Amino acid sequence: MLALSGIATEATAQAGPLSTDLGRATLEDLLKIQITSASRKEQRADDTPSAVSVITQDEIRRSGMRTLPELFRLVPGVQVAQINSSTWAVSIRGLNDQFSNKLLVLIDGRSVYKRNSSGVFWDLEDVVLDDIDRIEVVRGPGGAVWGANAVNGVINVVTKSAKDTPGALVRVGGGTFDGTGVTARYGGSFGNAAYRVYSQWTGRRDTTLANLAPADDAWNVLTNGLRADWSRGGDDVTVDGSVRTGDGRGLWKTLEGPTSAVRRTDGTSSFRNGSVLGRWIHRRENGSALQVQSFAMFSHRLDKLTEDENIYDVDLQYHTKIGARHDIVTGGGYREVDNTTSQTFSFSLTPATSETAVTHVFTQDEIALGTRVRLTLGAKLEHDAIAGWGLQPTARMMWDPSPRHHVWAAASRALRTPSRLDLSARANVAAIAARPLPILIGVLGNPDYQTEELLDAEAGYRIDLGSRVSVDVATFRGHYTGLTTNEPQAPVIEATPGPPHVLIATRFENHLQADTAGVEIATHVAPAPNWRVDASYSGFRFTPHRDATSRDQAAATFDGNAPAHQWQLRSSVSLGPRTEVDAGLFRTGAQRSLGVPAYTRADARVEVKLTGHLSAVAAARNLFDPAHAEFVALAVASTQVPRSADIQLVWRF
Amino acid sequence: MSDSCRASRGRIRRLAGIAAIAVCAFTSFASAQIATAATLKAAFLYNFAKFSEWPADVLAAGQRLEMCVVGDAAVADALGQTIKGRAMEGHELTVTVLKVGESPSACHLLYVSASEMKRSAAVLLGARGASMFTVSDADGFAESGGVAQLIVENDRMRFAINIASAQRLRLNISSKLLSLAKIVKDQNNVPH
Repeated sequence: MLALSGIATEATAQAGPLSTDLGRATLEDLLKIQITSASRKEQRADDTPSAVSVITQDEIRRSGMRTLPELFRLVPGVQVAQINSSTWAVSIRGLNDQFSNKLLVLIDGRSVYKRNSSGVFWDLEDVVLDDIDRIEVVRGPGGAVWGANAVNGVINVVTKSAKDTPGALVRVGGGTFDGTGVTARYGGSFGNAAYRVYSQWTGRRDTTLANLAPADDAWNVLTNGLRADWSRGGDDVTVDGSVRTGDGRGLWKTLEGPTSAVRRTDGTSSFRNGSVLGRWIHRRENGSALQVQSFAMFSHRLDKLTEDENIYDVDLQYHTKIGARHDIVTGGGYREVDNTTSQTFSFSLTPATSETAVTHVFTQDEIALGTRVRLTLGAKLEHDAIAGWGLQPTARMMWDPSPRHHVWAAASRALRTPSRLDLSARANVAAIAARPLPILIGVLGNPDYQTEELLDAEAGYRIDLGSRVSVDVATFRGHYTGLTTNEPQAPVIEATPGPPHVLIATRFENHLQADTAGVEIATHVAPAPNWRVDASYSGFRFTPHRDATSRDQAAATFDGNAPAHQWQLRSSVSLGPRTEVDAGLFRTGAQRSLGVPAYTRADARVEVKLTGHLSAVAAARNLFDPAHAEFVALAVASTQVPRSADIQLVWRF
Repeated sequence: MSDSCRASRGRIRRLAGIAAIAVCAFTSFASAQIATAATLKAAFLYNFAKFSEWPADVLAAGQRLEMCVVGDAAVADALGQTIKGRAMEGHELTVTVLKVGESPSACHLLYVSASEMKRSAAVLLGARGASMFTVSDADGFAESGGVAQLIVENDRMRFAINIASAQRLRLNISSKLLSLAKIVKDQNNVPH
């Protein structure tokens, strides 16, 4: 009987109000209190000469958001636009697209960026939000450490170690649009090892059309996973595996032949995928550490086309200090991607099957120049069969004029290597009946498509005015070369597939240069111990410079697919030990090139702890707006995001 | 566990009621707390001062007890909050933030954050020999001769005490504090 009460009191503390005065606590009490990850965030982010934001578990929980891509709205400089029920366009510092090709996304070290199509299938990655420890968002080129395709930033979703998720968690929710689902997770331990197993089913309902009718694009995902962590002495081993299946109504535009009409197809889209990752970190007494990581991913997707992809990846990193001044990280890795994509009239890649191998080495040295200044020099050298060798260097400086002030500056080069889509795509987008031959409108890939390059300079300032106020400012200027243009080709007559027709197509080329500039400001204020306010603003300017040889009209006035201004204001209040009230206001400016008007989104959330184990949460999103459009995509039908509300019950044992 | 829970456990041994334990567990759970690392560190520093005695020639009766913090503004603020309106056996408490290069000779308790350790070797050399209770969260601080070290383990804060260092500095640490600490032996030869 005493053992029972022992377990209960030792169980992971529920997230609750932050204690700010522990003067009355006894020593025994102090030893039991759980440290919030908010403090780890302050230490980590303050020390980095980059524009880094960390979204903590507390912020995730109190945002009321139920999907991973939605959470990225909490960081300035990130553009998140929902396209339809299962697709989002996410990017950092512009150039957003359904397949945003300049953003690297990692979940626990596993890259979910698809190199072949350049982008992320967000509907696949349905993570248990309660078990996320933090999301690190690095804005700006991460090429020197993370490699090609981390041109505009890196998002790193880190879930909690299995040691930090003991016990059971059951979440049941129902919502009008999102928030419907069931999650069950159980964590245990034996000896030096801990594990957690989980199962999560999430259902999303239809978005709406412009006339507020349902768009019939609902979908659902079932995820089953296991994570185990073992540590002893200087060794930590993590094994992480999951399988996902999902299906839903896909909305895509298809064309059957040279004489048919484009139809918005409501088909059933389905996928299944699985991944397994292993990681071993070995730390020595002298402070050095070696990390070896390997993962494999298998996926099968059926929608507009059938796609099968297998990825194998192995990665090494070694961290050591040399002398008193040098802190060095060096490493390398190899990744193989095998992809088979079916060929349809609407869209095909050539050849249908490809095997790509990418090898990389990188090194980074943080040099202490005196007591207040650190200089970091780094570079990554990467090779793949298509793009050949690519070098991405970076130089960063950090100056701490006082313990509360941090100033940093950086200059980098980042690359986006051509994908199979850029090189060999053939898309037929429309057919026009005409005499003597029907006309087919197409988009073509280009076997001579070049690597895109970004040269970028950034600077930032952080000030930490005690535990109550902090301000973080980052500015950047970038110059892109080789961005995609769609160049009209001379009409040709094609005989196959019949009937014979005239092909009027554009081809991908690299005739756009652009300059970008922007600023991101984030502030956190605690006006009272139980009240926290977060506010942020991002400004972005994109100036296109089209080559004289280009005939792509749209490129001349392209705005970078990002709004010029975005801001947000969020408030989190704890009313006593059992109630939390949170609200957020998000404003996204107009996107001229896409024709999407500006919109304001208001979110609200209330959580009440009913008992020591059970909480009830009610949340609503887009409170003042029945529906609005956020993006216009080329490959899928874009709909409007409706107002939504949901209720969740969460049990923790 | 709260005081009322401890009391009821005593009663439970006499009454042997499962329900009483269950309620106790629930209320403990419901009041389980979280705090930032800075607030916790400040609370531990306050308790280190509370459960230690300084020699009379260093801390006379009625003299102010000076606590100094180097390199962590958040801890300094939290400590300032914790000591507000509190005195310790007739000693008024003050918190001072030391700038790098400033002498700590007037401090009774000195906390140096790990991030400042590289730049503050000079501060600590100045500390040795004076009866200063030195604390840090840097790795290996207690083993290298510091008096106490704050350690984060599994999202909880723990502390280690080097008894030999405390004795060398003529600090008298209460057995209550020692019973909850990890006891550490000197690893290096500390010149003094």
